[in-house]
Formats: sequence, structure tokens, C-alpha cells
Amino acid sequence: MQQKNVPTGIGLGLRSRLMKAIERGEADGEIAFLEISPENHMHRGGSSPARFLKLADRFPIITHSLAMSLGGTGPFDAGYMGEMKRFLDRFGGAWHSDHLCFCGADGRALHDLLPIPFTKVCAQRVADRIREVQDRLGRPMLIENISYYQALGHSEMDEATFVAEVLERADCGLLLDVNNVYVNAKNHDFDPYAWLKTIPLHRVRQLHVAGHERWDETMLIDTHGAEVLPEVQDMMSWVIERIGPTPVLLERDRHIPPLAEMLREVRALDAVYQAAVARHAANRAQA
Amino acid sequence: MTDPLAPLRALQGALCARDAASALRTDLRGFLSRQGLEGADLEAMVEAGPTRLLAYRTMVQGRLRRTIKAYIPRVAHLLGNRYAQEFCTYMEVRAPRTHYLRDVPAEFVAWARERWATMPDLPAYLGDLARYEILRDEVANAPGGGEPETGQALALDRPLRIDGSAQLQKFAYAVHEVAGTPIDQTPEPPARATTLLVYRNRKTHRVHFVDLTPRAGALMRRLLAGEPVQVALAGAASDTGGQLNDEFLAAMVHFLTDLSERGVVLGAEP
Repeated sequence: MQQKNVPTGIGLGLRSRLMKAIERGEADGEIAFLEISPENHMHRGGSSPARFLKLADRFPIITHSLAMSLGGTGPFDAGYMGEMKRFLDRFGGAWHSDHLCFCGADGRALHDLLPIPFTKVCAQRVADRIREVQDRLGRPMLIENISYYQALGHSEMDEATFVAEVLERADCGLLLDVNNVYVNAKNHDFDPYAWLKTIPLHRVRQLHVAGHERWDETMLIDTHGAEVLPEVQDMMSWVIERIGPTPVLLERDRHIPPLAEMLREVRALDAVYQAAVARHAANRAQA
Repeated sequence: MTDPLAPLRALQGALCARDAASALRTDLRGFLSRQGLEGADLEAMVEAGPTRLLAYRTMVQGRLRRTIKAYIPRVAHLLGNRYAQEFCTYMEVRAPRTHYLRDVPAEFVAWARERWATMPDLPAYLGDLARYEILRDEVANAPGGGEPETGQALALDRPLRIDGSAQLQKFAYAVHEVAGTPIDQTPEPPARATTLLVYRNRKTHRVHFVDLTPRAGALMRRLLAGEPVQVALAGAASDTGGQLNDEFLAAMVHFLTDLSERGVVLGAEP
């Protein structure tokens, strides 16, 4: 299932707060890859792309964008998509990913990951748009399941069924964010493992893990602002045991600690990951 | 048949409409109906209640409001509580269009400058100050810049190649003169027509501001438009009511030499 030239193991998201330490070599040999958001580096001059260029020579890069609005209403912005293709042609890997959401309607760009209706019509519409993006970028797409805080409109199916429906209709891969599954399970009161058993695991190409925070007494939010909970690590482990070696991103966007502290969490996560990979190998040997 | 996109537009309305925070609490059904939601979609959203729509609104508006404020801290301080009101109006009537979060503040300022110019109760220099505040980041991140030198000496009949990060900004106030003051003690900038050349150093990537004389500003504007040097010189002299005499030429040669040493002028176009 794994494709060539795809890094496996625990990686980190490239954040400006961590950049100097990574440039000094403090992450060398510690992380399997860097995940970057092209929007932070493309259509941009100055020091940021110059620094990124040097890191791209030292680490495997996985690209993950934030603003495509795969579930959006209007045509894709030709300028943005053109810049994206040029960037991915230079730095991209075996796939590119973005979120199963919309970021704004009718030309607005609200810079957040907003839910889309869990309906057959919506699944087909988004699948068509994913196929269009794959054609325009000339590479496979992964879609990431988001944290949603309210179902949008009338739902014809649950979230996991909707995700599976989109994956099948678009014939694309899944960037499985297990923290988002956990947050949604808590907020909407469902069993996260039932969710994982509903989706086609053979389409999972990458994982995200992160921490979250509490919004109020009734709701968790996916802030990427805390360490990964043991329950979320267990979900990662459950998936890896079933699909084998896969790139897993440790996300951190708020309360970012020094790199040394992040790397301690990477190592702890890697121990869980390696144990799951070993169980996967043992299972295969027995089969 | 129900519009499948209506739920998306209804959520966007809840995030952007100025009155949404109160309307969602007091008349959820009425608000969502006015956004075009109907049938089973409407009933589902009404049954869910307003709490999480309001949470989405807080998250989305909070992130954008903080981002813009980080780029225009002095103007936001001068506006005080009114900054939040201006932001709310912006979200309702315009909202961001760019895919790049770092470009949102410039979009806000472009929208606000026109609006603030018509508001006599705001300082007349506010729009200029906002434009000045975002310039440093705009030029620091400008896609252009770092183009190769041409290796060709200045020739009167040819345009000059100029570093792609460079831009001219004209202000009615000398807003750059208040840049070093504490944010909570910003003095009123002098009302003086000002032209700043802003560029990014090719090696250090630092952004520099050069306060230009009127004739240097006129010359630079023409050179940036791609005019050959001789045409630009004659035009600049005419623009500023001067003559194309030895003193003018000597001053402009000195100016262009300085820009060449700064790495802004990269030689004559071949």
C-alpha cells in the first residue's frame, strides 16, 4: 500500500517558532519529515522562502494546504491554484492534502475549516471538486476529516459514512486526523472506534495527531494547543496496527513549546508508533 | 428543491452579518430563514440551537480580528473600541477574499482607507498611518525581488531594471515620522506630502524606507512604470515644475547611484 519515496514515522509541522532550532540542526535525525502549508511559502519572497529552501534540502517534505475550500461554492481561484501547482511541482511529494470543509462562500475566504452538509448531493459535489483539483495539480489528493462543532443543515448520514462516501466517489486518499475523530466523538457523543471501523482504512495515507482544549463545559475544540492525549495515541496505534508504516504528523499551533520539548513528545509518540508497527508486522507474518 | 448550498451561505451569514450575534440568540429561525435556509435544513439548525453557531462566529471573527490588529497596532490603538466596530462592518460588507492569511490586513486597510476618508470624526491621517503600518510586512513578503543584475551600465535610451520588491507610496502625512514613538503616545504626524520608496534588501531581506524629494519621487514613479531614463528624467522635471538642467541631472544621477549601491537599481535593461 505504501508508495515509494514516502517518509514513514513521526514528523513535525514547520512553524516559525520552531524554525531557528530546526535550522540549527536540533531536529536532525529526530523527525521523519516536515509537513508544510504551501500558503505560508508560495506567492512570497524574502527570508521565509529562502529559509524554507534550505530546510527542503535537509528533510522530506509533505505538503498540506489550508485554503482550497474543497467544499466551497464557487470555482477555484485560478491564480491560487496555479501558484499551488508550481509550488507542488517543485516541492511536492506523492500526494497533496487539504480539508474536507469549506472556507467561505461566494468569493469570501474566512480562513477557518467550516463544516459541510452530510448529504449525498454534497458528497458528490465535493468529490467532483476533489477530482478537479487532482487534475489541476496533476497529483493525488488526500482529504482530511475536520473537527466540526455543529452538523450543517439536515444530515442524511453520519460523519464517518459521509467521509467514506466522498472518498469512494472521489477515489482519493484520507489524511486521517485521529484527534479530530476524538474531539467529534466527545462533542457529538459517538464511539470513535465505530467511526474508524466505518471508514475505508485502506485509503488512509497519512495521520495527524494533536492536542485539543476545552471551549466550555460541553465542547472541546481542536486548537492543536496541548499535548496528545493517551486516548488519541491509542487511536493512532489502533490504526497503525491495521495499516502499517505511515507518516504521522504531530501538530502544534498554539502554546508551542521549545523544540526540545516538542522532540520529547515526538520520541514518546514514536515509541507508541513503533510498537504498533511491530504488531502490524507480526500480524502479517501470522496471516 | 432545497438549495444544497443554502446551509453554507447560512453559516457564512452567521459568521459575517453584523447583527448575527444578537439575532442568533433572539430569533434563530428568523435569522436563518433570512439567510435562505428552509425545510429540513432549517429545522435541523433551529433544533441544534445557537450556541455552537455563536462559537464558530467567535472563533472565526476572533482569529481575523487579531490578525489584522497585529499588523496595524498603532491604528487599532487609536481606534480603541471602534476597531471592533470597524472590523464587524468589514466582515459584513466585504470580508477577506485572499487565500493568504498574511494578506488579509492589507485587504482590510484598502477597504478602510476609503471609508475612513469620509468620516470627519476620525483623524485625517488614519488611513495613511494604516497603509504605512502594513507596508513593512507587505514588502518583506512581496513575491518579487532578488532579480539578477543586468550587468549593463545606465543608458539614457533604455529603462532600468528595478528590484521587484520596490514600491512607491504617497502619503498626505509624514506618517513615517511617528513610527518610533510608543504606540500609546502616537503624536499627530505632520501634514506634509510624502513619497516613500520601500524595498527589501537583497541580502539581509530587511525592509528599508527612503523618504524621497518630490523630483526623486517623480523620477522613480516613471522608472517603475518602465520609461527609458531620458524620458523619465524629462518627465520628472516637468512633473515638478523644474528644468532639465545640470543641477537637476547631477542630483538625479546621485540619487540613482545611491539606489544602485542599495541594490534597488539593477542596471539598464538589455
